[in-house]
Amino acid sequence: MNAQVSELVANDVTLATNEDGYLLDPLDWTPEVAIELARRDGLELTEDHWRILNFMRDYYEEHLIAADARFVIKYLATEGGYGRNARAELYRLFPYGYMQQTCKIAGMRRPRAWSTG
Amino acid sequence: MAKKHHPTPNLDQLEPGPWPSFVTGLKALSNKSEMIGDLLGQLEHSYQTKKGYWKGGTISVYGYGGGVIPRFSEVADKFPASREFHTLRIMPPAGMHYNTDILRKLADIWDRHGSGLIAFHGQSGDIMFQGARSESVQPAFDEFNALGFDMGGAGPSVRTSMSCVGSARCEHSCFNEARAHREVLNNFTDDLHRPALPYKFKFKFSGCPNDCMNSIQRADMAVIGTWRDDIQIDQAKVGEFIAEKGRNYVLDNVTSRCPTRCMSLNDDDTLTVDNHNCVHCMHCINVMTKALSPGKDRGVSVLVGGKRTLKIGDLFGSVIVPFMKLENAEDYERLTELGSEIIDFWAENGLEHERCGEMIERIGLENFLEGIGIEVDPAMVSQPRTNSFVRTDMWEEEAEKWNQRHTGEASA
Repeated sequence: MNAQVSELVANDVTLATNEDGYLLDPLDWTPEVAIELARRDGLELTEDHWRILNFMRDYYEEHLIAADARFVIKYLATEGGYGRNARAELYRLFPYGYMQQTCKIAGMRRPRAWSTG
Repeated sequence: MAKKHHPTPNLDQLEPGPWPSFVTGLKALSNKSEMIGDLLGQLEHSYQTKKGYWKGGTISVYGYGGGVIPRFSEVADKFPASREFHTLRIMPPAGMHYNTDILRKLADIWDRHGSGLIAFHGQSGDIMFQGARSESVQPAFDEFNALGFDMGGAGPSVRTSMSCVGSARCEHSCFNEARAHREVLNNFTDDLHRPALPYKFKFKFSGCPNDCMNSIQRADMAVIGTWRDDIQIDQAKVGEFIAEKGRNYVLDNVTSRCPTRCMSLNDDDTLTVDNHNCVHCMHCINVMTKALSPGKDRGVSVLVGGKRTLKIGDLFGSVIVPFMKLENAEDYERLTELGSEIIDFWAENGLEHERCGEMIERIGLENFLEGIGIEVDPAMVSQPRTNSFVRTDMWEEEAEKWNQRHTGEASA
């Protein structure tokens, strides 16, 4: 799944992505990349989106892995002030799912396949 | 139009023999679905090369984070019709009760949007609608949804639950399985559709200790019907059973197979059960269905931590609630709250990709019980007298603590 099969042009820079549109190297990410990835999904990024994306980028810088959805929801619940509505807020902003949409726009590598059993 | 069929010499070997063959079924379906024809072709290709050619992807429907299992073929150039073969997991109703009208509508929707292939039901407890192209996933789901069905679970989330057929058809039922199933699952709809847990979490509901849902082995939280008074014996029916089958049959197949030897067949063709030593294995009740039945004071036991093998080997659930009644709204609320406590504690303390049972193994059952606010109780241990892990040092002090707790509860 690491082979480049597609590419993304943002801010005149061409970046490698996999076939689902996830960046191959999360360090390639810039805000312009996020805007372009969101545009492909028909999303316009607002301040609320950026708060989540910035949290995920900070988490990535510290841990070098993508944050679990539960950590993002916890962040929204506490620091975002959404309490028990945090998950609904995450899905309001990224309606096609955390792994499918949020991770992609935040420049994470495609998460490994989920357990489906 | 005649469909193109791939030669399938290896798969054909699975058709003879006494059992129904999925190959025969797929071949029949391939006459009207090109997708299935190419699916068979790819499967034969896999059999010949001994490799799998499906890879996952990221497909979802609006507002949901799970429930679709994307599958893309890596040999689409050879088998283009089954290039995309995604599965939709749709939750069945509690106890899996349908009428034929609904079944026809479900099948029609899948004929329109998918390959026509349905697994009814998959191991996960869902109806698995297999074989959708990417663009068909959302419209198919919208139609299922309009029919009153909702998406099932996939990924690190609460999963689709299962309950046995229960009192609808089974005389052993000890509680209202369907109501428990619905009340608990309705409380966790968000956790089911929007994955945000360390790993999967399964609830299962079995009406009696026969545990037809295999909940002890598979459910993170198993709710199993049981009773706390005496097994009901209809001595007249015992007599009829012996008249029909003979005394020897009862000795060989009932009393001598009781795991705790708590039954005896009397000289006057009546049965005696030493209920204090009965472990509710259900064997005698299963054999003498008319003469014996579960007691009248019925409720449920709750077990936590069952799972199939992965990180560590298979685990059975541990009893955390030996008995609770499940009759009125408050009882069901308590069950739901218990589920919430367990999931919250595990979500907070579980490692990524760690089942609840694995977490309990790691941190210890005692810490887990403390975390979810449940007091230790000797009734949680099956057969403490023969269990080498039961420690009896500090017995007096612990017994005193237990007595105090129970006096406190009684006076509260």
